[in-house]
Amino acid sequence: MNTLTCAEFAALAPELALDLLSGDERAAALAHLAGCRSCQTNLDELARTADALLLLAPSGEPPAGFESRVLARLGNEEGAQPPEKRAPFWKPGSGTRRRPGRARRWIPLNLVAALLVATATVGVIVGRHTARHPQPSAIRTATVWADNFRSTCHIVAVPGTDGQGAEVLLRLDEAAELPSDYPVLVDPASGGRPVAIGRVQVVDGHGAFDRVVPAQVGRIRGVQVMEEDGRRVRYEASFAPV
Amino acid sequence: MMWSAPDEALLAGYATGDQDASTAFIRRHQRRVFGLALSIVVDPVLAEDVSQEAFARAWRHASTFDARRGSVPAWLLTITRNLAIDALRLRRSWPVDPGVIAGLEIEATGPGAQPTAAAEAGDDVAQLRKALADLPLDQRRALILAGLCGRTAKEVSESEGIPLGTAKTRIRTGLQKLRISLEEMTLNMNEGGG
Repeated sequence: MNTLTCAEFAALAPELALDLLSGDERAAALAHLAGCRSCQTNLDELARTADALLLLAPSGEPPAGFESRVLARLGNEEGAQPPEKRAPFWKPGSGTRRRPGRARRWIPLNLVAALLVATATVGVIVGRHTARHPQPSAIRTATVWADNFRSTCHIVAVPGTDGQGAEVLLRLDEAAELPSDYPVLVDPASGGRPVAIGRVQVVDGHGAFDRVVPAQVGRIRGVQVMEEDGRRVRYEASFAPV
Repeated sequence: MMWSAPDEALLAGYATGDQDASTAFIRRHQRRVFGLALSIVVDPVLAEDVSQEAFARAWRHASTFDARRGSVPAWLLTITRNLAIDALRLRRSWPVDPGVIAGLEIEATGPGAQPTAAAEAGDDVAQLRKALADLPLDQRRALILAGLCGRTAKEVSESEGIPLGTAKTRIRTGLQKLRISLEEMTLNMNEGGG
């Protein structure tokens, strides 16, 4: 895997810092990064510049009551346990887009773990939902990997557009370009067996899935994408209940 | 007192659940967070979802913030951007007018800029804006589309009508030049101040 030279990595570093790399290029860059301190430093500096770009975003007045809704939401979550005692957020396949430079700066141990667990075939997300929260803000995102981090599955659950149910969306970017057809299951928070909600087809290494399910986002404990045989889990995101 | 506290102190109070600190933290950053989310997803309802989730994640993971590695606003906006992009990529195609995005750095300082936006723009932002303005227009556009809107090089090539390799080169060169410019500006400021 680690076949890139420092010069080759330097050519990819800006795109890695901006989180634009995917597939084989990303995997090769990460493999090189894990063993090259000077390139890590270079990436850190580029990532800091990339972060600074965000400061140019225009400000916008949020809807009335936004502050109260955020505080209410935090109040609901606070009832569980203090943040420092909660399940680590940054596991392989964390809910936020993963960019090595940023991850290393703020959560070094977890990034190191992510890189060292390069032999893992399935990333597991532990996020949080707010089942008691009455507001519509129940967006859940997760990014999980398979095939030694060469295949990626982005998972999002958002409230349905009509306020009913939840919309579950997936995007797969797979290392292999062979056609695949994976079952997709939703794990209900109420317990019981996961429920099949459809299949995602992968063509030329890419697949997308969009399905509205008759359950609120807060009632979804997790999403699973199974191998084609339906017996083994290929990708899994779990939203741990509060 | 609370309202003038440094970002890091407010974040610490926010993480502990202190009511005053939390209120101050949200009020200080909500316009930037919501503005960035709205810029990317366009839909105000989705932008609020993203913004709320960004504040929730910042609260859960405040202990991972390292002030030596970057500012609180940059950290919070990074969380926001990533959430917005994740949501948008899977929900629908890019709704943002590239022309609007590419002009963000102009909007923020132009005569029509909102006073609050100008007030929030500190020295760092002014430096950044100047460094960005020094880039050739094609590199600047590509860099903003990629860095701020999260478009991939392929998406930039499609929206700009240029070959993929050209898009990659513009993004790469733009970011590298920006980094060098910021370093030089910092160095000059330090020499001038010393």
